[in-house]
Amino acid sequence: MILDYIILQCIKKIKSERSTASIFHLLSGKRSAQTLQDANMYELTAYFGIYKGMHRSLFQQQIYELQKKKYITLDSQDNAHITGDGDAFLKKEEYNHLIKDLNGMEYTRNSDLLWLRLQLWIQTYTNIAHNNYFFVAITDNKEVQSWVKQHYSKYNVYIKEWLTGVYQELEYFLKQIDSLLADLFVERLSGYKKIGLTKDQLAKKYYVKETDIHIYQTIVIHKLIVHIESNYNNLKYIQCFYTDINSAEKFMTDSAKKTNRWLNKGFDLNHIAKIRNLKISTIQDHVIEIAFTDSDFVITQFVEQKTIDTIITAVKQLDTTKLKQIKNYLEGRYSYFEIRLVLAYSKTKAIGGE
Amino acid sequence: MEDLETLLYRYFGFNSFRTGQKEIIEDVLAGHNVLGVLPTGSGKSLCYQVPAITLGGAVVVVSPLLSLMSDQVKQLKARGFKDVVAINSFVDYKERHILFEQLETYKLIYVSPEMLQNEQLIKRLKLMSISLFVIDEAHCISQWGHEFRPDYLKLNTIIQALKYPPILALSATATPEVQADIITQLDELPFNKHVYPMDRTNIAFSVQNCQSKQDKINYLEEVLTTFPVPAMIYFSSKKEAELVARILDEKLRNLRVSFYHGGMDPLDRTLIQQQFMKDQLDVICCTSAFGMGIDKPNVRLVVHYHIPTQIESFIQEVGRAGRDGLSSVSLVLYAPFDDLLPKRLIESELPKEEQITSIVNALEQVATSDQTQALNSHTLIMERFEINEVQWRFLQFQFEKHDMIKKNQFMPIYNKRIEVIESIKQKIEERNHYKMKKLQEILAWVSGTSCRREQLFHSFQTTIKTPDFLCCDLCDFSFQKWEPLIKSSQTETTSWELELAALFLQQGAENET
Repeated sequence: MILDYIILQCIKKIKSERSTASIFHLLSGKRSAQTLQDANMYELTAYFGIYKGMHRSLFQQQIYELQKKKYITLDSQDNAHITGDGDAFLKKEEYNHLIKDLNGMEYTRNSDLLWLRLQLWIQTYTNIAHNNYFFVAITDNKEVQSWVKQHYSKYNVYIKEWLTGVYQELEYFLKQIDSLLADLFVERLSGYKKIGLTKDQLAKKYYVKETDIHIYQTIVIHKLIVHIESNYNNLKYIQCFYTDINSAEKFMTDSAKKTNRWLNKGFDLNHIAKIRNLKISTIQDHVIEIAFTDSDFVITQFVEQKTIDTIITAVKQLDTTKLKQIKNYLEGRYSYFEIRLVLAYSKTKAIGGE
Repeated sequence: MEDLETLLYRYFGFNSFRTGQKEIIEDVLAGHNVLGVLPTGSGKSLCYQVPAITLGGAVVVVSPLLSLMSDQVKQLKARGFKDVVAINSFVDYKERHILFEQLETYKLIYVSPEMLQNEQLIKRLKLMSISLFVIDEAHCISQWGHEFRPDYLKLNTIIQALKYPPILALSATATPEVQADIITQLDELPFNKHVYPMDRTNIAFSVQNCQSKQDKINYLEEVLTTFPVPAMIYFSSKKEAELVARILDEKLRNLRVSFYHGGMDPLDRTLIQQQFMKDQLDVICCTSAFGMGIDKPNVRLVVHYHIPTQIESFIQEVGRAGRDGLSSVSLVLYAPFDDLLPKRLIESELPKEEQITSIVNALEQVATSDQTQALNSHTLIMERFEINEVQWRFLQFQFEKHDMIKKNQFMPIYNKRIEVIESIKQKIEERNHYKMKKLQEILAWVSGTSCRREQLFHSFQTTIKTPDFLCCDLCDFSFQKWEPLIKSSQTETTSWELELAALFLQQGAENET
């Protein structure tokens, strides 16, 4: 149900300007320029990558169910339109208290790492505290394994203190959140003589859909990150699972990062396309991605201030982000690249739209 | 050097060797080539893991079972043996490169037969001192083995390239015919044979004829209600395994039932496996993907909801019951038309004869055109002709044999085309015929009328041991007479607060040990 709710919210914000596939890419966190732009453009960054590894067929099933419930209709281009019933379901705001801490764009990478570290650390320390050194690690992730190893080699004389400390801080955190979230969190953990439950098992036990289990799990971890960030000075133990991953770079595709480096060296777009042996349109995509991610990015190196103003006025008047409509309205005087760039710019500066 | 028993205890936690292990290990350490045929569950892997610890140089293990490989690597690492690595298609290109660079730091190297075709790897291995070359699942080398792997036929060239290190060939299911073939394929090198009987004296056999799916489920429910014991139920279909697991879980409230198959995500697979190992789960509905490398001692009942395609797999799967030596049962549920599913499986393992002409013609076109394509475009061929990975493996081997593929390039064969097409078609017919014959064997066993134990093992060994408990439903077995060890398993519902505290050894944790 919560996944339905989130998908419905995406459909509403996208205003039928994109196909449902774009929502699938958003939720599964596809690192393409298009998906990152969509996330920014439609203010859906909170949901970016909150359901990694989702199968396409599973997503289609969700869309089908929304259709069956008459919350949405689909047109011939596979663009979804929200119905009155769908709107009413959203208005109930049933899940808002759960969703409000989601911050996919910002947390998606870190949250996976944090969750794996926490799970493997707990498995390792509780087993070792019982003098059991033989257990099958719940994750093969080398980065996570070596992090736990390092932690252990540093603190192996203080195992009891660490277990108590992490326990107290986790308990304090879990007491503040929805009890279902706390249940799911604890049941998933593995440790000495306790193997965590699979998502399928959790779903059965708590009468929640398996797809929702996934979303709930993402929510707990995002809430935990918010908790750590806002209580940083009071948390002696659990903050260490997070601090050193927090410094990760802002989200940008690797290719866009490269283009950005060339731009900073003062090369123009044609030149960069030649050097990197890429099409000029690809480099333009990168520029737009950079404009979305970096709020200090100066776009007047590509479009004049006058053009920017004209396009923003048009967007406001039309109340749309559909490129073709904008282009036609401005009688084709500006290229798609210019329009997209201005749209990106206006999003980061929070002007236009609304 | 410390004696083998001390070493066994230190690294593996066992006090004594199981039947055959010590004899094989001593022979291996003496530098002989050894062919070992040991029943499933007898700890075959120990036969090379112990030498890997004691011998200088590296031990290379060729195994076709990728999940077994990574399970064993995990378990060895968990036991503190760190110089172990698995090289297979799960390892991505970048990581593989790094592994090759530091290959000589490992003492135990698991490798898939496909990966052994990698020239870079062979180059690396040639620079190292290989103290033992292990061929796991050695029956795969034989055309008469039920799991024939074309890549295994190339092992003799590799052994030659490595200047003939001592060889250990291991199998759990090699008939005398297959044993002889293994040695032939390995250039008739001198081998010391260690063959141990397959029959396990603590497992009784039973076949239940059912009328329908529903009938099977009802029967299972009845058996598991009377005997709430750790059980594995084998299926040939992932979907059905999930479905029946859900039904049983609902009906059997005092048992914890779950499913396992290759389509699940890796973390869930690890969790289910570990839950079953730690007795947090009682019944597992699974496909053949489950169980390899799992050494759970107290599985009391192994059910075949679907029959496998040949006796060898059946014996292997049944062998997961009663490893602790206590009374255990193999139960086969058989309904009318149950022969259709394995028949379909067999057909899907080979390309259709009608496809061959068009595939060969298409490849000839690629080969004679200007651009020669790399073989990694095989995914394109697979897509275009709708053939699966297993079918492609077969075709690739045939193409290599007929010089249509050389060094990963398609080569023109011109007027030899018709001859090649006929030859491949004939091979397909032969293989299909052979597999259908194997299927007939197990079907005959299911509908047999004399002692199941004798019928099952007579092609593997000459004498059958007397069972410790009951024999089979055609001799003396019935569920009324079965007296397995039943431990009550209680699932208490607690709050997350209590569970978290227990996990972190807070409060009341002291009275646990």
